[in-house]
Amino acid sequence: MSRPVLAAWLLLWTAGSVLAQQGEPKPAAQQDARAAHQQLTEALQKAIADWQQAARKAVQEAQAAGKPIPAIAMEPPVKPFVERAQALAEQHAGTDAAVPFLVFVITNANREHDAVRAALKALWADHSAGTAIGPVLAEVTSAYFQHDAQKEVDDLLNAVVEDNDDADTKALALVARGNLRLQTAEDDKARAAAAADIRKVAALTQNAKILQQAKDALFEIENLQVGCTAPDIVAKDTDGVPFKLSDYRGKVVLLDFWGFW
Amino acid sequence: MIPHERSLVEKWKNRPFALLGVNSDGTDTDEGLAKFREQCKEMGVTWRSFRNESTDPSISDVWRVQGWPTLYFIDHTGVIRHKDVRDEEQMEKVLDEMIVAAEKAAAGK
Repeated sequence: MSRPVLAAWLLLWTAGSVLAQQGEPKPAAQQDARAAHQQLTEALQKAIADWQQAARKAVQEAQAAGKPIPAIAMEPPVKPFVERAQALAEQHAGTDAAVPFLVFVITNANREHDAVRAALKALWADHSAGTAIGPVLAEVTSAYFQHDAQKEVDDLLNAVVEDNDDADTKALALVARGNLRLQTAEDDKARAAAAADIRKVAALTQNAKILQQAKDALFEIENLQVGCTAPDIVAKDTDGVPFKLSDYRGKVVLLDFWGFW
Repeated sequence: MIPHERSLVEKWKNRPFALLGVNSDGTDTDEGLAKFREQCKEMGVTWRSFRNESTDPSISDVWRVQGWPTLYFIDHTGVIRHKDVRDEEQMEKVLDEMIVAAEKAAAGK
């Protein structure tokens, strides 16, 4: 099962690099940090690309020889980059310039779970009242599952929701917390708590992008839960022939989002 | 995954059941479609799939799919009855109950 692992890494790594390009214009004092971040991101991209090539080759050779998947397929070479980002975050500790390095650690770590939890704690301690935190909340929330960082993610989201005075930042934290609550909800009460977060967003912000995120989350809460009538799908099949999910009323439908890749 | 699904389609071919995919294999190009058909043949995929990107936003975006595969269990009236049941035995159990309910409803009409 090497291909899913490679594919997952490709996806994660792409997400990280997209984020790296979204930086807001920063004051001159932070130019150095920005350049260092850019350099680190590019170096990691190159290392990952090299690794993917080597891993693919090793997997193919192992398969041809009838041997198990080699260890290299599970070991993207991220550790030195995570350590470098930790050092840079430390160097800029307490300033907004540290945020991209902390995010780098959280989104690129593989097995460096302690580093991820420490980075989340630093975001909580130093940045939960600032405005640099808002745009990165959705992304760092993934550590809740990938790095077993439930407490750290909860602390961060709760602190931003409760203590941040910037309306858009607070709105982004409500969206992130609502989405997380929805993802982890096991009963109606938990889903109601998720909905309560999301419904507060409209009163806080006029930012169209944040409002859309809230709208999408509400759609999930109101239309995609067990007990809801499934939203109709009006689309084309893989041969280009149009059809609808509702064409199948009267039958039980197992709807499967899938791909060979 | 696919061998189990193939067995479900076979098992319930004369019952009110349909397996529908939402596929993201890039079948909008001739090349992508040819490769997809080849793989379907190889793996015995006979069921129909929506092309995920044939709507804008894509079907998986509208349905807020966060990981693949994602499964929805929809009853004969169009109501979502289960999500994310993964265990094969459990899948068959809940689907069987739903199919029996669909047949009862059809007989009662």
